[in-house]
This record gives sequence, structure tokens and C-alpha cells, in this order.
Amino acid sequence: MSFTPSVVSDSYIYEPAPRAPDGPGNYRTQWQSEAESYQLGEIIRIPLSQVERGFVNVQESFLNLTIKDVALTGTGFAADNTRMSYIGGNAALDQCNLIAGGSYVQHTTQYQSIFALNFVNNTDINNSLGNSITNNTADPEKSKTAQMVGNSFPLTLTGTTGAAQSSDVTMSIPLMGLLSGQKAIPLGLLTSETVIEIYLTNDIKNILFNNASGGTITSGSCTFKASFDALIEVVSPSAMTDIKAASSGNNGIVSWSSTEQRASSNTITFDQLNSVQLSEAQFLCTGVKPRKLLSLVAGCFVANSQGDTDPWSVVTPWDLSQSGLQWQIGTSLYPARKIANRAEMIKHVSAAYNQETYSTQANRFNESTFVNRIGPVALDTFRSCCGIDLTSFDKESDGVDCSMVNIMIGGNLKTTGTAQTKNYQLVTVKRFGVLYSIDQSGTWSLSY
Amino acid sequence: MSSQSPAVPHKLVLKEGDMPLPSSYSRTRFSATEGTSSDISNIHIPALRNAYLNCKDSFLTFSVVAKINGIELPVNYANPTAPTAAELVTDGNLLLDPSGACSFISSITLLQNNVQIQHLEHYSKIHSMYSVAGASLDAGGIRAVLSGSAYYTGERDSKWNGTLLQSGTPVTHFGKIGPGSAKANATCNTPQMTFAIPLMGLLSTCNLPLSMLSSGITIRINWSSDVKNSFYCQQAIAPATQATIINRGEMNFTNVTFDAGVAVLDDASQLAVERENNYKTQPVSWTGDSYYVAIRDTTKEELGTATTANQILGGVTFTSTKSILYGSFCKPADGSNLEPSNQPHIAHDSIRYRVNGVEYPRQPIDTLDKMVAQTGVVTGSTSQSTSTGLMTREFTTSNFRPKTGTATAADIRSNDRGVVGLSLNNWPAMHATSGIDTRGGDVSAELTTTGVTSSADLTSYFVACFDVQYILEDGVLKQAF
Repeated sequence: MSFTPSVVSDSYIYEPAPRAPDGPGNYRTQWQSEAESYQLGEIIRIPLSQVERGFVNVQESFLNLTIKDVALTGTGFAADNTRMSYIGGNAALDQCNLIAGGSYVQHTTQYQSIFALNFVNNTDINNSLGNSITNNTADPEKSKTAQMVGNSFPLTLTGTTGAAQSSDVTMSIPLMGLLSGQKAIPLGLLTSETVIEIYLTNDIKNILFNNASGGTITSGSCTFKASFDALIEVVSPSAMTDIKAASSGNNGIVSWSSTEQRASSNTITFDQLNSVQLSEAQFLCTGVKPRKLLSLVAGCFVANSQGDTDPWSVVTPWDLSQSGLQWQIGTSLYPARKIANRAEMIKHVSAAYNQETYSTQANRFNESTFVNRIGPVALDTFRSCCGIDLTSFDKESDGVDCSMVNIMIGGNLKTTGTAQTKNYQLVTVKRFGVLYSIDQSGTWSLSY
Repeated sequence: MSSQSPAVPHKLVLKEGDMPLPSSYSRTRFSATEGTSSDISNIHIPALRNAYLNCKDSFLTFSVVAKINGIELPVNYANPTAPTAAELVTDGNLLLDPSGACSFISSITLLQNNVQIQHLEHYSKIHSMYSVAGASLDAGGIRAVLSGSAYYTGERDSKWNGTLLQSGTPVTHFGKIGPGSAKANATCNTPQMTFAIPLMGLLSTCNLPLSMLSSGITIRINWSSDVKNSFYCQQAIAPATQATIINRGEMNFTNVTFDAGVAVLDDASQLAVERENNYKTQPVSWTGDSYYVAIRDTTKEELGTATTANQILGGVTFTSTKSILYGSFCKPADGSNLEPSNQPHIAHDSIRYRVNGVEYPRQPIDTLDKMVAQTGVVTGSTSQSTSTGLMTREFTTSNFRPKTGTATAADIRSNDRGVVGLSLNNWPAMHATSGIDTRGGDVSAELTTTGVTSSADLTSYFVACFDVQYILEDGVLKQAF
């Protein structure tokens, strides 16, 4: 049979859009947590219903989170100046996992760090309008285009040493990872219970900070309520048969590819940060060793032990004009020639977020706050980071095999003149390709 | 048989792109048959030989001059080069609605041989609600130039214009106020304002095959008849200097054209296109979106009482209803123009729909964050890195109440806007015909207020977006839904 390609372009071919898979249709519901409310440090568990022939459309689903009954003690509280972190409600989530049949299919620790790095790298002023409502992230009205500072938290003050929440803060937060992925989760194929597991942070200072001059937070408590607002698609039996037939590979196993992010951390001591001379430092990036490592993004966080700093302000620790920054994966060096300064840092980390050209750049970096040490927030949040894109032609499916080698990060540290008194946590986020599989017995597994 | 090796990633395959079909491409301005109009303009687009109307590359242009009657409105300078302080003081008092040019359009109808193909009633509200739901902030600059809508310059709240307030643009930005505009006359003749805006519906994206039509199409624009739909007053703090519009005024629309990109194929190419689409033997058909608006009068008595109201959205009966957007608008009222009347607001605390008797969603949308997140599902921007729209924490509230009477300092700063969307689409990312069949049942809205006193009524609009199939058969274009 011969096939003659058409000379007519798509613009001149008229055809109606196809119909979606047959079925009773969709519905939206809220999957409730197992407990009505939670305290700091507790674990929220939200079971997903096993819907026959159902899919949860994670692209259109989100976590409803309420923070209430905040009670704070500290010093120097002033009206409207106790603020939520600029990453909003995401600051309350230490971990976000998805467990199917007792096994992790997503295990995201250091959730706040990953979110902060993604937020400064991959959102812009347009996104900040809606996000300021849904996530309670930094409100663009309080910040100029270039500025970013967390929103005031609604509090009633008791003098200057205590404060209590005056109204509930509600948020609707799309969760990172599998729960906001491209593919709908086929609930109808699973045979055992699937649960969203969220570890709440154990310290209120990971969520709030006192932005008044000289003000602190010493302790606090709060209550959380949560539900998962899900869009459920239900298809007909015949459509389900078609979907299985189209998706099944060997032995009826349904598999699909995706990407995941995991974080690992190292400590940089304040002695190292205060080095008067350029001092070369190298750290082993711990954690998973995937076969398709797509990118590495790194930044430093500092503990909010006094309650006076946004704990998710993130900076690159390396010297900004003589960075000497390079990753070593096995015996290969990335990039081959060391990253020398902050302009090169931005270009490399932008590539990791598909932002290589002027017309695709969409981030919250700014000349005055792309610094390498964290100071008082005042009217802006310090934010910078570094990273490397390890893909060549395809952002999703190639990358570097690091399953049998170590990953090292190294660069030059030097004081900026302001002595640091706290250690920094250097967090490295690995983005890598993963393969999800559901076998005939309905067991869901993950490999990478 | 595939012609390329499966082992080689597609980005490594180097090949020549297809050549375009031999054709000529030109820009044509199809003018309205009425030179100047205050009510209806008709633009006729003929069925040109071998021609295709590139709607994605086309837009409506028009100019308008309004005669506005009121007090403390901008005046015509006696000496244009040296205005007095008394003349300058009212310069910023008259503002174009933040939604810009769309506020002038009451409805748009497409006809062929005087038979209706598509009708979009309440066009200004549809356009404005979708802008609030999905427009981006950084495109505000170019939108302001093209349509006169509110713009954003990155400033904080040091000025009324150019901030996140999204305040309307003073008419004096468009030119000098016309002769006869004086406080003594209580009249302001605005400068001529010219706009270029894309149209929603059939003329938004398709490549309309004019060559296959038996006769041309007509774009009929019904213009707004009340200046208060499009203009409002910047409020000074002192009541004695507060500007107001006192009646419906007059508006004249000129230079009304549809500025279109038209491709004309050569005969061989035309034959190839006809053969590819089997034009001679079967109907040509493609899919698009259309919109229908249901309305509810939300009275101040209802707003002031804790209550749940149910409203059947009559007319929302389509094979594939994809989404519903809700927004409440201030009514234009003589002598009270503290609020723009083409800016949507969220006047209720909670909203839910019953579609064919089934609750959507199961639990009411009862907080502002859920309202914005659900709207993100409609516009495809749920994720933090793709969220768009003009709703923001500082200037979007649920339970909105219009301001009337005397303005205060706080009034000057606020410019609330908000809509609530609900997607009814199956697999929304699939771009398939996948909405809910509402032909055999009712769609009703369940609206809850907790009772906050309101001094004015509002009008609530519900814009249903639905899939339509355009069918071109025997030269006649029809719409099926």
C-alpha cells in the first residue's frame, strides 16, 4: 500500500475535535483527612478512594489547607509585621508522600526547600497574583515587581510579647510531584489503598517570622485542617478496556514515564562562610542515584532559630565573582569549565528550568537580591541559587546515569564582610526520570 | 511504514520543512456600512474566491467619541498651550472602565444571508470576566495600548494608574477634551478614542474558508447605549469636588472595521485543499467555543440577609457544556459612579451548581482560595508556575459590596475584581469535546451570602462556555451545539 503525504498544512484541514473517553463523566469532591485537625509535627493522612474505572486528574486537584488558632510568644511584636514565609502555606509541609499498598511511590522530603527553589526559579510576577490567594505566597501589592516579602499574618497582639490569630488562613495548594503531574492516576487499576501522607513541620518558626526591627518569636502553636480537592474522571467499562489495551505493555503491566525531584543536604559551617581568603570547599551530594539525572539545583537555607528571618530565603553560598563552581559526577566535570560568576550561575540554573532564552525567562531573581549571604528580610527576600542542566536534546528523557558514581559539588567560599553566626544547610535538588508501573495484580511500583 | 529510524531521537533528525501552499497573503480592512453609528454597525465580509480569513491574525477596530453629562468632569482648555489650575484640577476625574474597549460592545452577531450563525449577548461582560480569569499582568501594557484597559507599570500604590489597583485610564490620556466641555455646561466631550481588539467566538482563532461560502458573512455589532457602562468617575475625597455622571449621555462610533489577514490560494492549491477536505462531497466541519450568558438580579435585600438562593440558569442547554464563570457587576446608576460597571466581583460567600440534579462540586466553593483555584482549573492554570489572571490577594474579596454615596480615602485605593469558575470538562487538558450534556436537565446555581449590608443591587452573570461544531454545507455555515 502506498501512502502519499498531503501538501495541505494543518491550517487548511478542517475536522472536529475528538470526543473524550466515554463515561458517566467527572465529579469534584474533597477527600478528607483521617483526623479533623492536626498540630505541629503531626502527620496528615488522606486516603484516596478506590473509584471503579476512576482516575484522579492531579493536574486539576489541590490540597485545601487551613491554619488556625496560632498562638505566639516572643518579643517586639508590632502590628501587621509578623509574616508568613514568602512561600506561603508550603512552609508548613516538611514532607509530602504518596503511599500505595504500603510502599512509597513518591517520597518528597525537604518539601519546603524544593518548593522555594522551584518558586524563585520557575514563577514570575504574573503567577504571583493568583498564588497570593491560593498559596498565600508573597503578595505582589506589598512588593514591587522585583521585590518579594511574605504576607502579614492576621494576629491580635497581647502587648509586644504575645500574639493570637485573629482569623483563619485558608489555602488551596497544588502539591508538587506526582500529585500535580501530567498523568491522571488510574485509581481503578489499583487494588490496595493509596494514601497521601503529609508531615507537618514541628516548629512554627518554619512558617512565620517576626519582621519588626529587633522582634523575635520564641515559641508558638497552631492547628491545621486539610482535605484534598480532587477532580475524578470516571470512564465506561468499554473505555476502560480500550485504555488498558492501549497502555499495557509486557504481561499487561501499565507503565508510564515521568520525572521526580528529591533533595539531599549538607552543612556549611559559619567558619567556612567567614573565610577571609577564597577557600575551596567540596561536598558529596547524598541521597538517590538515578539512572537519568536531568538537573541539579542547589541553594542554602538558614535556620530561623530567633524567629526573625524568613527560613526559606535561599542563597547560593559561592563567591559571586570567583565562584569556581563545578559538579563532578563520577569522573566527569559539569560544566567542563568552572562557573565563574553570578551571571553564569543564573544562565546555568535557568537552563535547568527550560529558560534558556530571553522570551522564556520567568523567575523572581533580581539584581539587588541575588546575593550569597542571608540577612534581615526588611522589605525584600534574598534569593539566589545555582544549578546545572544535564540534558542534551530532550529535557524529559535523556540525562546522566549516576547509578554507580558519586555526585560532588565544589566551589569557592569567601566572606562578604558581614560575619555569619549560623551554619547554612546546602540543599541539592535532583530532578530525574522515573518509571511508574502497575502490574496485573494492581501493585503500583516506582523505578529510576 | 515510518520513514525515520526509531533509534534516533526526533530532535536529531534533520529534515526540510514543508513549503507553504502557493498563495498571496494580504491585510484587508472590511469597513462597516454605516459611516457613524450610535447603535448598530454592520461589517460585510464577502465570499472571496480562493480566500481564507485568518481570524487569529484579525481584529476589530473602532473609534468613539462620547458626550458625557455630569459635574466636575474634565474641561476643554481655553488656551490649549497654557491650561489654568482650575482647568487642570478635573483632568483625572473621568475614567474609562478598567476592561477598556470591550465595555462599549453590547452584543456581537455573525450572520450569513441575514441568518444568524452565532450570537454573543452581553459581550462586554464575557470579555471582561475572561480577562479577570485569565489575562496576564505583564501583557497589561500592550492591552492598554490596544484596548484602553487598565495597565500595570510595576509601581506600588504611589499612583492610581499603573499599579495593581488596575484603575481605569483617565480619558485625558487619549487626547484633549473636545470643545463645548465646560463646568457651566455640565458636559464633557471626550477625545476620540481608537481601539483594536480581537473578538471571541467564531472569529477568534479559526481559518475561515471564505471561498467555500455561497455568500459572505456579516459581523453585526450592537453598541452600548449608556456611557455609564464604559465610564466612571475618579472620586476626590471632598464631596464638593466629587465628579458624577448624571445620565446615559451619547456615543458615536466611527471607523468601524474588521482588520483581517486574508490568504488567497492559487487555483491548484485551492483544489488540493478542497480534495483534502472532501469539500465537494461532504460537509466541512470544525470545532470551537461559544458562550451563553444567564443573568440574575442580586438585590441589596438578598445581599444583606444571611441566605442561600437558588437560580435556574435558563438556556444553558448544550451537548457539551464545558465551564461556568460567575461574576457580579455594579449597575450603572445616574449620579453614582464610584464603581466601574464592567468589572466583575464576587458578591457571594459560597457557590455551588447543580447540573442535571448533581452537585458540582460536591462540597461548596466557600473560600476565596478555592474560588481562585477552581477558576484556575477553567483556564488551565492550576499550577503555581502557570497561574494567570488579575485576581490578587489585596484586591480580590468574596462578599464584595458596591460603594455608593460619598467616597472616602479608602475608596480611592480599592478596585476589587474577581470571578469564580467551575470546570465541567472531562479530561480538560485533552482538548477534546468533553463537557457535560445539559440538554435534558437544568443547571442551577446555589449562591450563599452571610449577610453584609449592601446599599445597591448588583447583577450576577453566569457565562457558560460550550463546545460548538461549525458545519459548512452547500456553502451555508451553521453552528451546532
